[in-house]
Amino acid sequence: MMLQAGPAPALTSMKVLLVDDSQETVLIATKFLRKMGHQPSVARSGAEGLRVFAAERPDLVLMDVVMPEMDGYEAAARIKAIGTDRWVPLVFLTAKTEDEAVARGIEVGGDDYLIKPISFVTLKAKLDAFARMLHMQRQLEQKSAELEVYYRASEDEQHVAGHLMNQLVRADSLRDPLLEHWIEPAHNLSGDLVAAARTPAGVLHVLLADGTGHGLAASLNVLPVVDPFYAMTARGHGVAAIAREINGKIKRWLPVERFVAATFIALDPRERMIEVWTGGNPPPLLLDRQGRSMHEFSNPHLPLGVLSQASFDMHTERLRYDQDCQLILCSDGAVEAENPDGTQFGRKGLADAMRDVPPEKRLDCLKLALNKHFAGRCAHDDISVAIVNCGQETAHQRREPDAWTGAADAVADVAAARLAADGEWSVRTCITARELRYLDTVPMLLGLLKQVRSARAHSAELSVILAELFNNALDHGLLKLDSSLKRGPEGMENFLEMRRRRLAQLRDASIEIGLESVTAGNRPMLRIWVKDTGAGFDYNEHPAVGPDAEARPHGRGITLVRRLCATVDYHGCGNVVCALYDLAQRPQAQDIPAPPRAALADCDA
Amino acid sequence: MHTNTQIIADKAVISLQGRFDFSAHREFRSLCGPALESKEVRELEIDLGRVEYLDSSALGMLLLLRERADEARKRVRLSNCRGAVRQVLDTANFGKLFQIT
Repeated sequence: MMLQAGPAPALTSMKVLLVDDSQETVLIATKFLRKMGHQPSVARSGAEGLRVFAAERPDLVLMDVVMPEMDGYEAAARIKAIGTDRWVPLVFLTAKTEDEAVARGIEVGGDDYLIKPISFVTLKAKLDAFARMLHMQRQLEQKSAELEVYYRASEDEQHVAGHLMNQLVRADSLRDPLLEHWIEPAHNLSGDLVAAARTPAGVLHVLLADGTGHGLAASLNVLPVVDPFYAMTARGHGVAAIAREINGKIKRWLPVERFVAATFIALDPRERMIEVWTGGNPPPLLLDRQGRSMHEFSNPHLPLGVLSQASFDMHTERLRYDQDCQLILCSDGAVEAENPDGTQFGRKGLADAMRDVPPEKRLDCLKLALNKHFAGRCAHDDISVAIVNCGQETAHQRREPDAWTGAADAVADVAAARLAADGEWSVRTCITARELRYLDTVPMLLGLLKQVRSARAHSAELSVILAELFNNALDHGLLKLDSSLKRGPEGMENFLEMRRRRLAQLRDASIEIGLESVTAGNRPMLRIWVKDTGAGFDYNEHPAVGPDAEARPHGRGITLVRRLCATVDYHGCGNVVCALYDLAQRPQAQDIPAPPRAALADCDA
Repeated sequence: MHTNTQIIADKAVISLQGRFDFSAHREFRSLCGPALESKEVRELEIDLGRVEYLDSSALGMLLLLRERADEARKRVRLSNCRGAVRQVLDTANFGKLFQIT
């Protein structure tokens, strides 16, 4: 309601109940009231006054004090006790002006008093004042009713949004053994979100996102973030590519002022590699077993949805770890949390809360420290924390390639049989230097293979095979990188830096990949071949590649591919590799024990 | 949030004071309107020296301002960014989008 100059608007005509046993007062007062434009009704006693009040619900009551049986005070008290939501002003008509009388009147619920005999001027003045107050009160009531309607509608929407968010956020995949998380919304719905999933090769992707807005508005951010994250992780894309995709969606779909601060982590527990992309969130902490900081990550990027795709920066920070450690991710709500004095919790608060705390207790310690910091004050921003345990995963913890037995050996003799390419389907693709620089080739091909029914169940194995063959062709065939570079503390970073440089300078080179369905001895097989335009190598003599090679510490090695495939052969000058994969075998990645060899040999091989 | 606008030659200085959050949405928008529409003004300086609190919706409003300023071919600068305000701007890397002093 706006304040305005001059007298406030008033109820022009009120229903006034006059309770008085004096005929004279009644006559005069009703005459005055009608003259002012009000509608009088009359009661001659306290008891009648109560009845008429209940029946007519007047806007205002004029109550005589001195009446037989029930006096004005008692009647007033009873009227007020009828208790409606509305305030009905009650004015006593009295000859008594002593303080006690006035005080008693107010005590029983009276709002004012008039001295008899009633003067027109005084009566009008008082009634006008009350009329203004009543008008204001009626306006308040109306606004209150409107607010109630909006409130209910908002609650409904929140409920729907909450449901939607629950469905999208896929709480089940957040139960990865390496991940702990905690989200504390400032309002009913959090604008913060944690998502986690594994690539087919077992790399853990974790995303902690903080979208602008709380409550219902927050849920708008969720869909364009969560969908690409899960879909692309399942296809084996890297986190930088996923970040870029999400950036594009938010930029395109949401208004300019909406963006999402995000931290992406890719943890490869087998390679012991951490990869980080942070934009707009405080950078993650990396803590050792004692809870001390091992590395300071930077926060180089803008939040998602701000930059155009052309300006988007895909650079990630990579780190090799050689001891068990923990990544602590959080949104700015945790760092900027204010105590009653207005002091922020800060990165220092974060670090202090977890120093010298054993890894499994750190999340609880952090929650305690934050609650203590708040000291009863409410958070005004959502808080979210994710803790990723970086260790060494053993083979059996995670459907690991090492655990896969060579059931494919049983059909090795098939290699000798004639292969009939029955032309069901085949795909051939040639990727030149320019595209090699940015294309996510393996996920692209894997996405394709997943569409093929016979290949779908084998995505995990095929992802490993394709990745190994393609990366060898690129890293060794075209870029002439030596895997031994990866050794040592700085090894991985040096290797990646050299790789990046050589890839940027690559000219006149290409990799061809073929995927063909073939049949060998009545078994459906997939032939995968990769040909690069490099100089090749002597594959018979090469220790890592030859039939007796062991899996090296870095990378799974071609030996794993040999174990998964019926055959692996090199051709040409070593620049062509051809692998044959049995699509009829049970996919090893599922938790089904491999059938005994004998059973396989018995079936139509 | 208290505000103050001053136009000096080709520069509009919009000073904000208090909490710059979602509740300031309409006010901020209407504040910047005249400066954006003025033919003489070529630069908008948003003085955040007396802002005690800045959240992500304020960042969103700045992004919106930036877009409108681009369309009107005017520059936007953020001045007197200190303490908590500076920290929020730094965490969001807004230095890449605005000149911040």
